[in-house]
Amino acid sequence: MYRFMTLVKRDMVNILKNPTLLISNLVITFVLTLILGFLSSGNYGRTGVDSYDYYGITMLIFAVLNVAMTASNSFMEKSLKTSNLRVIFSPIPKSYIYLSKIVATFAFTSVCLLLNTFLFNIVLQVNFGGARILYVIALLLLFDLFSSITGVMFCCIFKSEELSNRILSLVIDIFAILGGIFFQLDGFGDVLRKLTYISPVKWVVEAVFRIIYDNDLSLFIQPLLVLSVLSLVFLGVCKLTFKTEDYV
Amino acid sequence: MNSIIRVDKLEKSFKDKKALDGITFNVYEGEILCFLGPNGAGKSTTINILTTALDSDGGDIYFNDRKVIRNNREYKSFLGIVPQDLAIYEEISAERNVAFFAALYGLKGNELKTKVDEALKFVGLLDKKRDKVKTFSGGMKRRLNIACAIAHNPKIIIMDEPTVGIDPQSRNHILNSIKELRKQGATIIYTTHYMEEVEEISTRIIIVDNGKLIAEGTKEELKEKLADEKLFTVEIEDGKSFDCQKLYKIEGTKNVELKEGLLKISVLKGIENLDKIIAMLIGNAVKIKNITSEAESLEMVFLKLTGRTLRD
Amino acid sequence: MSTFINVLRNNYFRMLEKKNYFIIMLVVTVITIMLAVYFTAKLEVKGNVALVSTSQNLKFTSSKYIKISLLDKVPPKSQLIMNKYDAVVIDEGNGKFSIQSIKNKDFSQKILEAVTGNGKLSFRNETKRGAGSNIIGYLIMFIFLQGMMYMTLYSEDKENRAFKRIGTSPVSLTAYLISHCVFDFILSIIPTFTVLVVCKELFKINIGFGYPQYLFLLGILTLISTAFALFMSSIFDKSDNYLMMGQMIAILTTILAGSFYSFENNNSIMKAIINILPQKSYLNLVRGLEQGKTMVNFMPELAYLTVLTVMLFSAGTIICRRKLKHGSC
Ligand SMILES: Nc1ncnc2c1ncn2[C@@H]1O[C@H](COP(=O)(O)OP(=O)(O)OP(=O)(O)O)[C@@H](O)[C@H]1O
Ligand SMILES: [Mg+2]
Repeated sequence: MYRFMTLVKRDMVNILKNPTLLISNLVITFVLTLILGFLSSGNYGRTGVDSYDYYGITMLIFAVLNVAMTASNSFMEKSLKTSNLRVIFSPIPKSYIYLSKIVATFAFTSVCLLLNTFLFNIVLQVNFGGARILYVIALLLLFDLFSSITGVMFCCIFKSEELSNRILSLVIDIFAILGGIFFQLDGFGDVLRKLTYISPVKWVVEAVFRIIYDNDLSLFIQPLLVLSVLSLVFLGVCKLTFKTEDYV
Repeated sequence: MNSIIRVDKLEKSFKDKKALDGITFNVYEGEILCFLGPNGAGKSTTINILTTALDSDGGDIYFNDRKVIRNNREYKSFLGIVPQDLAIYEEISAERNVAFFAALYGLKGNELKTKVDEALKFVGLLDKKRDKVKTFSGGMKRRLNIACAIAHNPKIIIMDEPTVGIDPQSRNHILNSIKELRKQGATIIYTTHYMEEVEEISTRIIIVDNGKLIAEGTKEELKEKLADEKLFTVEIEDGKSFDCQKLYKIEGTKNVELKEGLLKISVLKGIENLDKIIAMLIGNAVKIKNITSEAESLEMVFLKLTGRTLRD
Repeated sequence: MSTFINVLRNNYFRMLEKKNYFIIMLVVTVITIMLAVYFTAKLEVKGNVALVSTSQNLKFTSSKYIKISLLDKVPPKSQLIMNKYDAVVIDEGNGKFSIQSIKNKDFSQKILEAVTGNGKLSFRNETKRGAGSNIIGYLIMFIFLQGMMYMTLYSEDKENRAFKRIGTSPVSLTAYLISHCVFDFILSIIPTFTVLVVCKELFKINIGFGYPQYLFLLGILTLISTAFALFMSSIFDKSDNYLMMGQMIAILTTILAGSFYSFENNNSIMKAIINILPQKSYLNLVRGLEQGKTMVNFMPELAYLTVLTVMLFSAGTIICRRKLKHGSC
């Protein structure tokens, strides 16, 4: 355990020393919400729901999606890769190497997530459904964990941060658009609406809005289960694809 | 002498390229074993298999006569590895770097602190321990790269070209450190391209080529093998029309090679035929600019065994 | 000239090692075009209104502008948030209706009038886009992303110090940058255009424009995306940061400009902001051409796009030159 924590601590510091990761996790979400919220505020009436209520939620989810890139950065960023992988020579289980990246990324980004949630609630008055905010946070945290695992898995598969991030960013953008992160797609007819469900982002978005606005928890368990199962599967993929001989 | 590691018929292929072809050798306790070989000979591959980071296709490794299983943690904790590429964190201090890697070997608390200081002192970076690595020079980084591998007092230290691309001063420092480590009881496995280094620190040498072991022994033993030959290097001009095969007609000539104006002729010792060689060259209108004669050097041993110079 | 060929050849070999990017981009391009074609046929640009009524003798029918779904229960509020319905009209019996909507009042009023039959509704004034506009509209974002992806070769040059070598050699910096741009341009436009040709010739899909028009339109788009990529990659020293910021900006502006769906409303600040976006001018041009207008009608747009492209390119070059001089890359 001591050795594992040594690794986690190291990975945590690596993330904290990377200004790009700090900015993308802490600042960009807020700025994006401000911009999109402001620009589309004219679409909404004064009936208790405004553009910030929409973008506050979707941008948080978008931020959580992008956690995958933070994870792959913390693992194989150019300046870290050789040193991060030197660890394979030391007497630790090799799974520690990718698990510690997941734990460090998750710990760091969940703090960012909570900070942003707090900020949105106080400053932008985003509606999180009162006490149901706990469900929202629980779901987002699980999604965050899933994203961290996904990022690390991409690294294990592609063996480089460069390639995995470039692929990840495309996948994320497509899922985000389909999931209704930037604009709602449900109004474009049934065909498109059904199509959007191929994006896991859509399930989370819908689940969160249902929790907040309909007090409906029926969609809470479902994504929770799916995300948990997928997380485990992806962890398995990490185990299978992370081979020390690829890095010596 | 006690064999601490025994390597038995290692095989390794990358796709259809055979990197190791049944290499077998022993590592004895307390020695400095130098691995010599041209580029792509299989040195790094051997070392990576020794560290268990890479799996072999065939063959076994024994540590203290017990077979080493892949990723065996007990075995790994006896090793200290200095990788060929720099593997240190640039953004943090030297001290933190060493402490991080040492902690992975289970060192903690005060013991960790003292061991880290010892390691840094050992490579001469103690006064810089709080400085960030990105402010270090190339040689200092190399030294830190070594410090990260020795803080946990490994029994066996494996170094893959630790002196590549650095200044003479840092190199001397590193070579002295290696000798010092041996005095303290460590066994060292070392690969390099620099013959001078081998001459200076090795207690035993293994020469590999094409994934095979082609010679082993102390430097004296290896030179002894070639004691019957001598090498003349003739710097020539206008030699294009000259057919060097003619030189074989001279008694005692063993091998002739012409490359970029340098004519290398190895001859049997004890037969004085330099005058005949010169006469033949002049007779063929070859202009001689310079002649050197070499007593047997490791470089020559190497050249003879592999047909290649070490750094071509 | 030799710099030019040299950089192109070098980039070509480097790309061979990164075939993955190329293949992924190609796949995305194909999917994008397919989606665009599909949605041209299927996408409903209508208002969606849920009418909640228990009485059977209400006879509201969906119209060209509005799709009315008859429900017997008020749909959950989250469906309003996610825009499945623009509004919910509740029949309270004896000819009275109330309306629930999160849209602005004006809008609610119009819907109520339309449903009760006292008014014409044309709130989504956007006419349905043709296949050509739709394909290009959807492609805008990916052309931008693609342009940035291939420009990472330049960004990586800067990172791994190959660039210093160029700075100290007698090669002209402008020639070097232009070569990168040309490479970027070719690699972005040729696969896209080829996919379109294949769609039309092999699968007989209606792609809207003719080939010369496509070449022209894609050419303009790719020029802007290339200049933008050069500009962004010159600003940032690390390719990671460059890609992150560049993609963020490209996605945001492309979406706002309405390449997928029109963001426009009566908010004047919003309108002003959207009108500055080059993607907006570009979309106007594309839509206009598809409706049969000629190029002459779009001189302001064309001029604006050209000026912007030149500005982005010059700014990129100047920034790069500065940085090289100050030794910061
Ligand atoms: N990951 C790999 N994939 C394919 N071939 C490899 C790989 N690693 C090594 N090889 C090949 O195996 C052979 C042995 O390589 P190795 O790295 O062991 O050489 P070396 O003796 O360490 O050379 P150098 O002195 O240049 O470091 C070479 O022919 C090399 O091309
Ligand atoms: Mg090597």
